Amino acid sequence: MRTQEVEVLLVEDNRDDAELTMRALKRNNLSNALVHLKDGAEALEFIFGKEPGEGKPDRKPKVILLDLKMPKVNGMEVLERVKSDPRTKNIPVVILTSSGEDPDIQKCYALGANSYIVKPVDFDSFAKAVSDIGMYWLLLNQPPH
Amino acid sequence: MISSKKTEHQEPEWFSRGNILRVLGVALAYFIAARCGLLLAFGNSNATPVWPPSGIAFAALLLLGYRSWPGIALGAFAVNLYVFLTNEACGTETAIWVSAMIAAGNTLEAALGFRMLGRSNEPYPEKASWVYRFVVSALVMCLASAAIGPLAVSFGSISPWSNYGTVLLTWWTGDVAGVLVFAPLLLVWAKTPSWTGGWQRAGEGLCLLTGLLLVCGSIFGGWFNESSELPLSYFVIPFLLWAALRFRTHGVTLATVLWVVIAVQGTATGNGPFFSNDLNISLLSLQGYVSIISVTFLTLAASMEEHRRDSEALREARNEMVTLIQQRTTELVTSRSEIKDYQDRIEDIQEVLLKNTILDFSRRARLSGTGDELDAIAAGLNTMSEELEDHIRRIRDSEERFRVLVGNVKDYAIYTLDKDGYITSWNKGAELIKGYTEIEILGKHISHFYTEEDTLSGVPFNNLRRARERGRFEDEGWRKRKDGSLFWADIVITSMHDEQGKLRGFVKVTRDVTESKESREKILNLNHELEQNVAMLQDVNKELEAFTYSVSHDLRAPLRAIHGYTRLLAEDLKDGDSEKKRMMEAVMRNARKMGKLIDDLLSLSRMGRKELQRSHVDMNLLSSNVLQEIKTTQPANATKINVQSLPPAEADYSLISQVMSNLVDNAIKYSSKNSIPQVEIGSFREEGDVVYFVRDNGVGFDMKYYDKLFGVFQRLHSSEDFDGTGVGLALVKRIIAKHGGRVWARAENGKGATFFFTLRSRTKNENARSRSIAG
Repeated sequence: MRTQEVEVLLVEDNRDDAELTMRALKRNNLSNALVHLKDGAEALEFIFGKEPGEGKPDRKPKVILLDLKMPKVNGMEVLERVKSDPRTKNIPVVILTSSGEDPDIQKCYALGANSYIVKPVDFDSFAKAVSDIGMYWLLLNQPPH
Repeated sequence: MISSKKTEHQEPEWFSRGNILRVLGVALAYFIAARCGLLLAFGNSNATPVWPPSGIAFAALLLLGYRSWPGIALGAFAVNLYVFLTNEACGTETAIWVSAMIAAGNTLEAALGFRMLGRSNEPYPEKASWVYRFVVSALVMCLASAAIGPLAVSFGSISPWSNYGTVLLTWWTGDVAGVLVFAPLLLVWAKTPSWTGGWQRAGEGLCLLTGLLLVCGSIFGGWFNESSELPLSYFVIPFLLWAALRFRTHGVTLATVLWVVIAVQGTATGNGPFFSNDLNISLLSLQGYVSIISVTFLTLAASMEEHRRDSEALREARNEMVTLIQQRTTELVTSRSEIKDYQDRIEDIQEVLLKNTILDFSRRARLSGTGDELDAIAAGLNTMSEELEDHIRRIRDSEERFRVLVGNVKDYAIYTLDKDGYITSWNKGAELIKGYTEIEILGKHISHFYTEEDTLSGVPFNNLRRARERGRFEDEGWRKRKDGSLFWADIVITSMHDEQGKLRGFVKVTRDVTESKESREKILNLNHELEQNVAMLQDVNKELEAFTYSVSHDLRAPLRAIHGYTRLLAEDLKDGDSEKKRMMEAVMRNARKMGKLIDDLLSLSRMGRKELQRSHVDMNLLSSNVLQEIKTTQPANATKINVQSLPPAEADYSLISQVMSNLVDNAIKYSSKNSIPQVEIGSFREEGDVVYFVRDNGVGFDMKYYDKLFGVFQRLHSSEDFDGTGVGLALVKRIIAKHGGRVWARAENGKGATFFFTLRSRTKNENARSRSIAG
């Protein structure tokens, strides 16, 4: 699944949510260069390599869709690593969470999250939200070189 | 001091040499006196107007003692015998026994006088009363001689019996005169004169003597024969007066003797105013004259002497008094300094007295005081002592009152300890609390009340030490009653000091606070429980938050999956499968509804935890925002919404937006079945509060179910008729309550409903007021 040019990195432990997300993106042909990882540890390994301090991260996705509540390494830690590393801090990170009750919303913004999206129950709303995000970050947004 | 010393002559032995000499002396004196006296006899008779031996005999007995009487008898016998034998008036034998009888009479005379005047009295003519008794004695004693003498003469036929009466009278008067004139002379001159000698006194005496001799010579010397008819005898009086005043008894007696001798001699030789041709008349008149004058001046002199002696005694008494006064004054000065010392001591004693010592000054004074001054000192001390006693009494009274007061205190054990911790007093409260009676506990040590562990670890001593060091020590702890049971005591030990700051003991006040300790422990337990409960609640709250998070996170995810996959399935359906499509729609609708329910519940739960963020809220802006949002979410809505101008409020903007949103949502929802749905948003003032309201013309509700209106999950309409979760109004109520306001509603079935709310209560008072209005 790993392609040379990754545009969307989806980090989501919930398989259903992942599928519905990918479906929503697919509707707008935004899922061609998408990598889905099931937890934070995989995400960090994908971005920074297996060993700490190993070379220059070769994969710079255009956007990271990050769930917060995950086993092993949670979303917050991933966010912190990405945003604290000068090589990766420019990668837009969109937090996708199930609930607006999350106590870490403020912290996420403080750490540099670019968006914080509560996933609606209604699939139509959910799909619209996801496609809007994809459209925005992949097509409209001009990342720095 | 002059005391009248009685001249108690020790009577000499009869035959002692002294007595024999005395007897012989008296006999000789008597003989000579008698011989001289006979010279004075008138004419050729033996009759003499003054018989000196009688006076000499009397004086001899008084001066020499009664054992000298044989001298009188001897002298008298000798002289009479000599006379009778000489003039040959009778035979020798007759002369002897006649002389013996006469001598016996003379002796008896003196003895009788001695007996009458007595030795017990002053034998000196120094008092007028003595002169009186002397005169009486003389008159009586001479009767003895006068009775016996003539009798003997008559028996001896020397004188005829017819003359007996005349002889007796002559004899008696002669003897009396002799006693009155000569006895005082001897008695007085036996003593030294009270007046002092000296040339002046001697010259005066010489003048007096010369004058007296001249006068007597003039009267009785026959120098002026032609004038013998004149009563010249009175001229002797001034001289005797002179003698009496200046030389007193000594002068008077001597002058009298001189004058009498001259007078008798003169008269006997036929001169002087008393000479008469009749022998007896001249004899008697001379004797009367001599006796009266001599007695008078002797009395005067004796009185003078008495007066002199009295005034001397008085002077000496006065001198003695002055000396005494000086002496006493000195003593008084000494006493004063002693009093000062006493006072100083009393001041010292006062302090001692304050420590309840009693001093009986009366007793002390009685023991030591003998003089007047000491009495005065004693009186002074007694006054002081009384004052002190009064003071002590008052202190005692006050102590007694205090003791009674303390003694009757029941809720506190109040007792005193000596400096070593032994109990010295005990009150009722102590008895009640500790169970010991006063008799049982006095003298026991304070450690009796401590538990054994405390006593072993020295707690009682440490407590006393701390009280001694700090003056006061407070503590709480277990103490033991008499029956061994324990109670929790609240104790205060206060140290007592005397003026010098020396420790005297302690006052200990103990209170049984077992109950209050228990209740305090109960409260502490409750507090602890409460804290635990609070901690538990906090835990529960955290759990709830976690739960809420998990609810929102984990419950929504499946719903999202359900809804999403159903949606995807529905999209794949062919157009003919309308029934399948409807069922899938139902699945999606329920999933959505559950999502909404979860969101609402989360909102409600969030409300309970969220702090209000009050700010100035423009209610007009707020409502227009709410309406704008509704228009966005429900674009198809055709309800006519009328908004009045609303006054601003102090409130949490987002929460009141929620309230407004919910109420307007409800109004739109429940009026949706009206053909012309209308919603009105407005406000009015009621009793100072701003009341906002949202009114609709919808279905309304039955007021009998009003109770359930604001309950969670409570619905007055079915979901069939009106969609809803039953959380909206519960959330509204919670938000309004959080603001301190109130919310209520008025409705009627089919005639619409109005919901009111207030947002007041910026202060608690206003809050309370609005609450009371709401109630």
